[in-house]
Amino acid sequence: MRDYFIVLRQQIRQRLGLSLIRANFKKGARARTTMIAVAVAVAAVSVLGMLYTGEFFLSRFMAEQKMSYVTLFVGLALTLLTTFVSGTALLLSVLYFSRDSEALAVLPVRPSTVFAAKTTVAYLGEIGVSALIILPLLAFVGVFERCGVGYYVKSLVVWLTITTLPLTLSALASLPLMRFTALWKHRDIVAVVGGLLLVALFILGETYLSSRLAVTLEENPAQIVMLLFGNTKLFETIAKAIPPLYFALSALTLSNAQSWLNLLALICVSLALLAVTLYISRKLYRQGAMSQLETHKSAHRSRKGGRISARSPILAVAMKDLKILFRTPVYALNTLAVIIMLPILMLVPMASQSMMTDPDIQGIMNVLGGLSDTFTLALIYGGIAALFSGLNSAISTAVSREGKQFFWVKVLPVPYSTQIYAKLLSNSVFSAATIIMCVIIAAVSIHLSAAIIALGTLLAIVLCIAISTIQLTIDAIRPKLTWSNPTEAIKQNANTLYGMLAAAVLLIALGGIAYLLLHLNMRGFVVFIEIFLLSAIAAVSSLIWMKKAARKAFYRIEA
Amino acid sequence: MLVIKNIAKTYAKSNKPAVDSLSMNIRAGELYGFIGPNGAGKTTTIKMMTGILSPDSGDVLIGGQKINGTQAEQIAAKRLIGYVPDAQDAYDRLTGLEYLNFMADMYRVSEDDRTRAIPKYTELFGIADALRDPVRSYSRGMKQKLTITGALLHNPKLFILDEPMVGLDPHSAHQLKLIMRERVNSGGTVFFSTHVLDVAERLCDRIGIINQGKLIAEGTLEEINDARLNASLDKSIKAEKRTLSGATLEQIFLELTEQNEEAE
Repeated sequence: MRDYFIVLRQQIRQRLGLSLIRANFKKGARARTTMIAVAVAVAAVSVLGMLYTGEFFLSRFMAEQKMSYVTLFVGLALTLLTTFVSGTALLLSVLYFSRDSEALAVLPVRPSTVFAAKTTVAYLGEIGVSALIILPLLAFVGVFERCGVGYYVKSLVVWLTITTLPLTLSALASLPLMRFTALWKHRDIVAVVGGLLLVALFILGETYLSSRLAVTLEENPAQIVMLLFGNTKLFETIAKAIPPLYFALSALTLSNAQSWLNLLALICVSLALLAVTLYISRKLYRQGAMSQLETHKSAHRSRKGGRISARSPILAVAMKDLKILFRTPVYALNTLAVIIMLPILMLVPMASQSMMTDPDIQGIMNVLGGLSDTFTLALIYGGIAALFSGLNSAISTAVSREGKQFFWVKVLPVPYSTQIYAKLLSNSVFSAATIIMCVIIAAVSIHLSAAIIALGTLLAIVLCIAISTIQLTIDAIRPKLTWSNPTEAIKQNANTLYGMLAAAVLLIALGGIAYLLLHLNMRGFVVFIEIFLLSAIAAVSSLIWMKKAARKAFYRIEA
Repeated sequence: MLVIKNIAKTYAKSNKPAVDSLSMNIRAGELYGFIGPNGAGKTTTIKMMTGILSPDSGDVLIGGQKINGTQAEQIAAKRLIGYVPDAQDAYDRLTGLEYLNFMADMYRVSEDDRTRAIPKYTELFGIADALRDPVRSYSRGMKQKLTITGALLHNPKLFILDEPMVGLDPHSAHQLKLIMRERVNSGGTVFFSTHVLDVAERLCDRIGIINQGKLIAEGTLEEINDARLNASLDKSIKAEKRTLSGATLEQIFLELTEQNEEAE
């Protein structure tokens, strides 16, 4: 146990970089550190403020309708899903692709202790994030439902356990997966594919459950009426498919002894899963983690494969970036997941033939159907495609991912602007893939006309240039070059968040302008042209800004 | 070939300069050894020479081009340099061949030239057969050999190496010494830092000793020894030192760096 706490303390210090912050604060960088802290706090307060306002009104409205069960269902189900998706990538990188694996392996500590400490760090991170989202919601429900102290005690326990479950499941699934990858020569590829499958399976399961909701409604339309009158049996049915979710909901909504029994069941399930995971980690973790330190070498040394060939510097940098990205499992997982999950989320309900009966999809189709104007629809489609593209963290961490190798950027006789343009070029692969996915979904799933898709795609391309350039510039100005594992470079990098926020701000601004112009009865064609031109101006201005800002940062940053 | 004019560098979070008023002039066709204790400022100086760090004051000129000048000057200067860093930080997710192709692309080495240079150096260092393997599977020495090969592909006029012998087997170290001498003989310039004083003593045309960010001695071994003798005003100490007139670089280095530290 003593070893566990020593490793845990070291891992927390390493992850949070507290010593570095403290040193910065002491040694003259006080003003800058304070400024960054204030900026982060302002951004966090703005985002969380919006979220809490939404949670406040939703929980008040649902409480008035006697449907707080649904509020809790949505909150807890979302916590489960997001923790699983983000936790899987985080755990894989922390447990298996961390640079300290070798250093920890030589210490006289059991591998299962290292596993437990690392999983705890991931758990602490995830409960921190989930606390920001779920705790206020639980509190609002408690206030509007006038619950007693017991409810708040149970809420705290539910919050702590509901995050444990998906993370423990991720850890449990990762153990055989990574042990399995050790059997393969190209284990990085197997790990990427396996990780994607893991997340895809969970989303598929969740989507299946959602599609069951639509099917149930179709089979028994009376339930819609019951739903409107506060009958929550439907959600209960779904929750029963995920026992821990059912236990949590019952614990929070019932007020008798049964609620405490459900809470006990939730704790027992969590502890049992944890115990099983720790036991299996004793058998499998070491082999899985250590095998990631090995790299395949050709059994028979051969001079075949690969060739000496010349490329332009811009193409050489772009190809180098792409190769490194696809060959680093954490990078590949995080960047490909966004592209691959999109069609899964959209196409699976359709495959289960429930899409057209899904009330949400019906609603969207009705809105889209009400808009007969090709140009207006193209504007909406283009904006959505650009938004999906803006969610990818590939470009917003392109400079940060250089890490310790950043000094090459400074040594090589190629202007920094060229190297930055190369990064923009390599990212275009992801933008293009996302746009192609959107085209497939629009054509196959939503049945948009070819004209709408063509015009929307054109707009999306221009918007993608603007968004990618802004995101890259943000990373170029203040890259996170000091990291101990790739997760810190791509996932625990504030530039990813800033990049997404910038994309959202641009799209909201353009969307607002389009809405105003349409509201003024301007023709769809004219509005489309105006928004297209504005997007083009945004793209060109951001390219000019990037060149200037990146060059300034290049001289400032000392590798 | 390499002119360093009064450069100084203090890191952002330190009050003490890492390099202080350092000036050097290294001529074309010269093999220059740069020695000093740990933390003396060797790597900081090399990083300023290669453009990784910007000096707080002073200039670095390579072939007449300021590496801390305009962008055009920087690029022109960098084209003349082949740099081998102290850590083996090649892109480890690339294969050896991909890394070499990348470096050749950056320095715009023609396909013909790289087809000649890659086999020449990789066979010399014994890594030709491993070129299709990922760099992360290489040993420390193999990574060092790969980085050296990458730095030589464009036939640089100024070859800068930071602790190049670390991790090399005796055969490869010998080959590297031959390459360094060969480059100098053909008019190139080699600047390298090292802790291996024997290598510096036997290989270098001139030596610079840096301590606490300042160049405390420079010249051939004889010149440094003479300067050391003349520096002592005390006749008895001078006489004592005369007995060490045939002193090795190690003896001189230890004496000078200890003196410098006492004076500080």
